[in-house]
Amino acid sequence: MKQTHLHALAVCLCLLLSNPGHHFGAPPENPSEQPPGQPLERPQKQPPADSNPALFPELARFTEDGFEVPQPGHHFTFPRDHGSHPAFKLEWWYLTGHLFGPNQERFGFQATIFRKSGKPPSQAVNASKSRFEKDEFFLVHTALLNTLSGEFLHSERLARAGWDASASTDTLSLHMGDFQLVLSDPTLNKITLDAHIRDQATFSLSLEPIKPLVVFGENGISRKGNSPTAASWYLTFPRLKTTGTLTLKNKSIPVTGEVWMDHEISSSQLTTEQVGWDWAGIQLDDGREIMVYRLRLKDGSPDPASALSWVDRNGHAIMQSASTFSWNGTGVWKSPHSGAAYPLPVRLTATDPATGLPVEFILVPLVQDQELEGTFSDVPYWEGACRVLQNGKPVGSAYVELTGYSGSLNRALR
Amino acid sequence: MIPPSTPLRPLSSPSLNGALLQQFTLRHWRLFPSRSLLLLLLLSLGIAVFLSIRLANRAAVSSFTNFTEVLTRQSDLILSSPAGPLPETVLDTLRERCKFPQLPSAHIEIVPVVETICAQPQSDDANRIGSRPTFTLLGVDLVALQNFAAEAHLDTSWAGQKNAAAPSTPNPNSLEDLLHKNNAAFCSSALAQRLSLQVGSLLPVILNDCEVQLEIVGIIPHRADQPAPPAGLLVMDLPALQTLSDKVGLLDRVELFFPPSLKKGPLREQLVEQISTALAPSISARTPVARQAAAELMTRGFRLNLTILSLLSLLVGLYLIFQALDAAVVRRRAEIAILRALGVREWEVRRAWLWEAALLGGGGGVVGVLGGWALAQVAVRAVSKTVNALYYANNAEAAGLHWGEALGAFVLSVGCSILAGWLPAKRAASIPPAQAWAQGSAAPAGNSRSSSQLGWCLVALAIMLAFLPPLRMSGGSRFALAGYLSALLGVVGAGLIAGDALKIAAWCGHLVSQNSAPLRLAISHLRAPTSRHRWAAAALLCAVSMTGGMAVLVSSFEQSVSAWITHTLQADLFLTSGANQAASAYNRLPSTLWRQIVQNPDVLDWDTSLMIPAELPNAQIRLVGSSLAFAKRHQQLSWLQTPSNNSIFDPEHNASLCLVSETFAIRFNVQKNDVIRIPTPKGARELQICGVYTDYGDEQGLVLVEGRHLADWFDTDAVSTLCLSLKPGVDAEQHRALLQTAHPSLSIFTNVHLRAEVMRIFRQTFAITYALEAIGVIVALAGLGITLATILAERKTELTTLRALGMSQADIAALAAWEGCLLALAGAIGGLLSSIGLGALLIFVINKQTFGWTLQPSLPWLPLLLLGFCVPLCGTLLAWCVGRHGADLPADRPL
Repeated sequence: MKQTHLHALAVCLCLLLSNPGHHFGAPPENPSEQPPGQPLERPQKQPPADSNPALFPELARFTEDGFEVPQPGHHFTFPRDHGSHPAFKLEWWYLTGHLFGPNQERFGFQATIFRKSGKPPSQAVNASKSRFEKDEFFLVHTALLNTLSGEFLHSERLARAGWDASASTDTLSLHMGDFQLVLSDPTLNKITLDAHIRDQATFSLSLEPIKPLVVFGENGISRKGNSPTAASWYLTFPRLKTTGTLTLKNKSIPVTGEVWMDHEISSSQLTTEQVGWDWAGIQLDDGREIMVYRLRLKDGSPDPASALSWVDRNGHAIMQSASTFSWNGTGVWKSPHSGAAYPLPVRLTATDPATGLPVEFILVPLVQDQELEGTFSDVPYWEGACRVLQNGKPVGSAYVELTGYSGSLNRALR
Repeated sequence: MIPPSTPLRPLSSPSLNGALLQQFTLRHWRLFPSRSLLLLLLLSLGIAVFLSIRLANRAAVSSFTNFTEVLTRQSDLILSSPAGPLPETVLDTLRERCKFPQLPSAHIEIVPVVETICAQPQSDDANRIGSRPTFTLLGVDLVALQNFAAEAHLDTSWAGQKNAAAPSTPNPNSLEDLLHKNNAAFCSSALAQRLSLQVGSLLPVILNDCEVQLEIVGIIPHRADQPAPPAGLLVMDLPALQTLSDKVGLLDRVELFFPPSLKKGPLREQLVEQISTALAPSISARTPVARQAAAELMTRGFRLNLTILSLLSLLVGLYLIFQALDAAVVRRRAEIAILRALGVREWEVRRAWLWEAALLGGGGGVVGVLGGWALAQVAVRAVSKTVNALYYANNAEAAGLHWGEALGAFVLSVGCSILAGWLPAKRAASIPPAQAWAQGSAAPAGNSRSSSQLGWCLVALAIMLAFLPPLRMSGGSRFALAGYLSALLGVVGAGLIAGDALKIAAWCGHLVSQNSAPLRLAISHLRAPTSRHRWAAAALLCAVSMTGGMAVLVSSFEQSVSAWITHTLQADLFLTSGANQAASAYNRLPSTLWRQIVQNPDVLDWDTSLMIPAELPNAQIRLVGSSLAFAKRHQQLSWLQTPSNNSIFDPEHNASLCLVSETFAIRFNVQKNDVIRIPTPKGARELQICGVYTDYGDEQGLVLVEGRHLADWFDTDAVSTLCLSLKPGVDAEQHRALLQTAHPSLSIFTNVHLRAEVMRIFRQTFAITYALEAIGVIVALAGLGITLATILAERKTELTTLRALGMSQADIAALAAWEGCLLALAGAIGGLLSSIGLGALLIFVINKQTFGWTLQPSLPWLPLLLLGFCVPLCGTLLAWCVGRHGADLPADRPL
């Protein structure tokens, strides 16, 4: 899941907008039992799951502050569900990918837009939209890794909804300053992305799904903890064929590659017991993908809500529970910026559903220093492009996110 | 004694210079330290006054800061409407147009801004305009501001600031909290200190017609390497300020920030050009430098006048240096003769004198710079008050020492000193040794005829220059170069003629009494005045002439303004927002309020006035909308060109007609029947000028149109001021008090009170002028004292003889007093006479060309007579003191 992504940005935005030193995104203790405004719908797809639903309490319909909680069995309709969901508190669109230039250039990139609502639409005093909204905010993180030079560029931008930042509720159409992510062809699900990293780099990319959209979780619900509100709708295009132009230091480079795109909708995701999380989106050369996240509890053990999902060549997701896989660092990279010690490279062991045999992957960063400062939130995190090795041989590419290693997140959580 | 074995050899040039400096210059300084020190101090006073005005001007101009810069960084382009606010929708247009395919990396930050002036409520009932502290309220998007903070790696702690007095406050304001508070404001740490504000304090301010309690939620964060935010700055979230200031959906300006890589070079220019062209003419785009330049342009005339006035003391000081060095030449003739006899060449003597002048200038410069900086702290408040009252809001309270200005003042000091010393140096070098020995130490008689002739020539030239037009510059501003030159040449010329006035003074003295020996002796000295006498008289004449000339100008101005307000202010009561304490404050009264007020049964007639700043190409003007029929009915306008078309007074037919102020007509070189184009939010309007009227309240230029049309063009029914005529028998003061009680946030004036306020502000704006003039006169009087002391020192032999002949110390003091009296009288009378000419030049040429006001000439008899009496009186007293001191001869003392 892009849960980790979710968390990183959720922390950033929540910390920035709420009281310093307050918790971020923690679930309400007493979720409302009010009947929802939205009827339950038939799930689009039943993922093959070996998870244990008994581990988690029944989901509430609303958070304490009145936002809707994602419910199982929701019938997704597109392109509407690619768009914004203001009834939910948190939402993000997260793209990570690997791009290649004509002269042996290789780039990793991240482009994320995160939306947070301060109040549910039902509590809005004034129905008319202001050009300077007080209750809806967007945060964009962009990053670019140039593997030839080892240079890692990144930036963060914050905006309130209004004239310079908006998300359509009809389709995928996100704008924030010069950043835009738009579903340009709803039939073929073609997407265009325009983003920039200050005046250092811009990318203008066209993305087209090679594989169908995946809805992670059981019955369309991705649980993130034992809170009755800690859940999300988690939609992913695991492999988007990408072409476009990258402008780096005023030099345009035509690029091609493959991108992973998450869209996650929720109203509350973290619990106070969780001190950090690790996430990876792996694109294997054999046409399959793996999405894995490990939520770390205070005692160092993985939260039972952690999960790993395989996506087969046809786009079917096979979910594996926390007890069936392991995530370990094989080394440590200490950030010279934040001082955080990240467990890198990563050893991931799981069971290959195709063979039923255990399999081990090593996720090796293309460049060690891919840490984002978390300027707004003071929560640095590592989000970087990796190569995937199996038995010492490259078998794919991955993007890995590691959060909660600088101590700042713990402070924030407390 | 030189040993025989040591060969005689000439001193090398540096050694000779050093020897001359030690033995020739510094020795004399040591011999007469008080005299040298006084001269140095007088020169330094001139420099100090000049520098203080320069620094105060600079502080006032630089206080016109783009406040957004304090919060972000310097913007690259500032967009505003040529008239009125910008609609918020312009932001969408900008985001669309600020994309440049050829410059994909040119990400441009677009920062919308609302800015307004508010004031603290009055604490008493004095109701003095400009007496309430004002603040600039800046509305910016606090969320977007975080991006600038992040970019600069700034402390982003806008939110969550705690009360310093109670740091354990559990719930500091989060950013979300701040956005939901409609009265949350950040203040500068200076203001927090001054008003003892803490997080959570309430700061009451008047905005438009309301008193608002602003909640202080923190201190404006700023970078340590940047100037601290000005004390008068308050920052709010943009939509909150929009609501408070009744500007919902409107913006005052939008600032564009290019990425750092495009800060300089052709790409930046290309972007500026491209954006400016794409947005014109509905949006005007200016760089911050251009905006600052426009503010400087607005106050240029005022600042230039002050600078020129500040040179008066220096000019008088130059006379003194000239005199002092000339006297030194006379005193040291014997030494010069010895030096020349020893083989020191002419140019070496001259160089020694110039070194002395330069040293004097250098010393005066150093002391002057320090004194100037200190004086500037006083001057800046006076300049700031005037700029506030006439041009734009500024909070300049202190003037920093600008090194460029300081260096300029130092160079001016040295340069002027060398200039003043040039002639004495030449004279010292050119006198043959034999002649020097022969003439002893007698003061030169000087060539009075040639001086007079030169003086008359300069006066004639000055008169001719007075008829030349001003230099015209961009934006319709003018510089009365010929006028200023005329004034300078006129004053210098009159000074040269002053020697003749001494003879007249001597003749007058002769008429007074022929029995007094001291008087007769004094008269005999003035019948054949030395150059010393002539220069002292010239310095006094110069000071009195300029002081008198300014008095004539101020008197004429005062009389004209007084007549104007008598004519213009006809109503009984005048109402405006209590926040309108400065010329740049445009707070308004909403229609609900003013319509309610005019419905009072005691109101007989009323009119509203709406004032809107507007921008013509390179020039700021103001549009005024009011009922022209009301103005005609109450004969409010003083015509320079009377309207011949009565349609101008008919609201049904005057939508394309206007009246313009005299300053506008002169600035833009237009007259009756010309057509002008003015910008409005509904497009540019062509208006025919139907008449030109006088208005001494504005020097930028006013365009007066029918109020209802202006309100329609700018889509507002709020007004800037409301004036009420009350029914006969209604007591204006009582009605004012009732209104004031009902509307404490308004400034309400009775007719009498407003007239008094206008005149008070008028006099306040001239306060610094008076101070400069007074300093000039003091320098001149001090110069008179030095001159007499020098003369008496030169006459030591004569005085000793007089004492031997039986004259007492008191008699010699009386002799000096008579000489000083007659000399001061000559300078004062000559100065007063030339002040009339100078006054006329200031009124009809310099003022008219610079500001565009026609003034009715008026002679301020009392101040002029007072000046004519005080200067000779002070001169007499000073001379008596000098004489008494000078008569204290060694022969008087017991052995």
